Amino acid sequence: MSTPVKLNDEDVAYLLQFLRNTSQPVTTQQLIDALRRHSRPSEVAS
Amino acid sequence: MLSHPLELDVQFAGSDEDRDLAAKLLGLMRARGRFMSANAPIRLSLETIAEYFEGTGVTGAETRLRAAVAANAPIFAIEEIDGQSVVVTTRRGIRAVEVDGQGRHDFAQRLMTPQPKPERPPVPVRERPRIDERWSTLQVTLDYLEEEAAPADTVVETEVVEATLEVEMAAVDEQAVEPVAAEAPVIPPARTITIPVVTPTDVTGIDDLELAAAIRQRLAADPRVANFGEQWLMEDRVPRFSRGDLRRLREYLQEQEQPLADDVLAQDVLGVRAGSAEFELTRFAIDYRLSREKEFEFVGTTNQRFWSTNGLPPIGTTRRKPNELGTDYRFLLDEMTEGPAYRSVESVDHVLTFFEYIHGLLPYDSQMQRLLPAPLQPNQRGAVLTFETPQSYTTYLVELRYPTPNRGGFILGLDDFYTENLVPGAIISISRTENDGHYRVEYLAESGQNGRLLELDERRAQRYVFRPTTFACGVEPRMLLTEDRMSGLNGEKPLDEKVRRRPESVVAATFERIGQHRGGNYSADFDTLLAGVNVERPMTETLLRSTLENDDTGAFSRDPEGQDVYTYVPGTTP
Repeated sequence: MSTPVKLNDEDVAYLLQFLRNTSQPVTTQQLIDALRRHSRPSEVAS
Repeated sequence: MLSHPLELDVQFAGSDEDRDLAAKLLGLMRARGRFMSANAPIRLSLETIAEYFEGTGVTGAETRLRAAVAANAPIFAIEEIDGQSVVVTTRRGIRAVEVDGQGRHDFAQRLMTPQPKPERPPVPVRERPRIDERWSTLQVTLDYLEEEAAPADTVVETEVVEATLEVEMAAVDEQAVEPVAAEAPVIPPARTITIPVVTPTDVTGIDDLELAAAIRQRLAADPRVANFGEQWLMEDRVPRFSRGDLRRLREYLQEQEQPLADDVLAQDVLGVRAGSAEFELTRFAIDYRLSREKEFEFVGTTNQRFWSTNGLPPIGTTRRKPNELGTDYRFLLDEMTEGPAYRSVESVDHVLTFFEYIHGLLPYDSQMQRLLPAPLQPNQRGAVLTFETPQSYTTYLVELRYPTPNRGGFILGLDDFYTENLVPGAIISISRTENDGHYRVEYLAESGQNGRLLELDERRAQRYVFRPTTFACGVEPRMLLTEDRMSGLNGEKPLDEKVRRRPESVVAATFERIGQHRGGNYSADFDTLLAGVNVERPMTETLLRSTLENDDTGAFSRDPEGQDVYTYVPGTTP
């Protein structure tokens, strides 16, 4: 049985920055998408 | 008549007549200039003054005035303005002092010609603190760390020098004669700064559900973040409500006498137009802020976020209290599956029992659990849903009561729909929509049928009666309570509360009411029993079968001769 994933401080800091940059409420799915983009910065750049 | 007290503090000169006239003249002119400043010249034409004095009985007034003015030159003066003689004095009783009008520091001048703005010294350019670029991007940090790691020899040398220095310093302290030590080069002690290398978690192979749980675990407890359901925002960005706003929200709910959704509250109470830029933010603010207020209760779903407050009339039947209904449905807790898959089925078909019909409710069983949404908030007791009936063009507000550890769940508020369209035994279908708070309820529309069906007569003492009924809906015949099958119920009173609490007692009573009497025993087939017991209390096939099969007292037994027929032996009632 795999252990549940835990976000580190870098992930949380990124999510907080993401939330600071928005003035409207965002959904959990939007946070998930942002986290996925963040974990693949090179793909985002290309 | 003009009158003014003559409180003169000036000495008049001349004859008695001049002094008297001069005093009256000064009084007159003071009265004229009573709102003027003490040194402002008061001017009055000599002709006017003379006319006034002649009116008071002074003859030759102008001549006598000129004499009095001439005798009191320090007080009065006569000026010629436009060929007219004008007497001038001041309220202080001295001749007006001519003031140079040029350069006077009066308000008009100050208003029209303001002083130039003082010149400010130039503000020195403040140097902006800049973050070391090593912190800005991960790549730069990694490059720097590689550069740091490359000259490993240097680090070793530094450590050696440092060690040497400590030894030599210790030798100096002991005052040993070591001239070489004093000449050793002073090298600052090497410091090692460890920069924590934190990389983002690789979430490539992790599914959305697990990521959502991880996000909720880290952010939900963070006081900087506001969360409601599946929505997130920084806490300081969420608009706050005053006590007055909260009071208006509460009073509006009480006035409407039913729970209202957040979009209705935003528009009707807070005056925010739907579609405006701040509409969604206001809805979120309502949900987040009200969830922190004790006087409001969330009773909604993800798509229909209803709010309730104290003092609202209950939704649904008043025949039984919600707690009693929860106790009636307690057996459903044993039939529920662990970890239910909420909203995993499209629709659910259900056959209406007599108990459900008279109370306007539906059981929240495992089937219904798979159709309806999960509680959105922790400790959410219920959810208000809308049930639309396309066949009657009506939408009902119903309340779903979630199960608790010792009470079963149920749905209330369908009384009118049942009594207007259905009979006990009718087949209904409840299907979900894209909105998790809105459902469609349909029945099988059929041509009208007649039958004598069971009803609860509440006109005097409650009794079961059979009345001719016309209905136009599809029914499950085995659950239809016709007089042919259930004639024993005619005129019966509902069971006592103590009896109906125990399923075994209700089954025994049902045998006696509708079973076939054979030599002191009663027998009835399972379907008839199921329809009969559900007159008094809710009971599923599973519970009834379990009650009949697992009876330790031997009161119930399966009849080997009949097909799915059971026998009850009175006197051994469980």
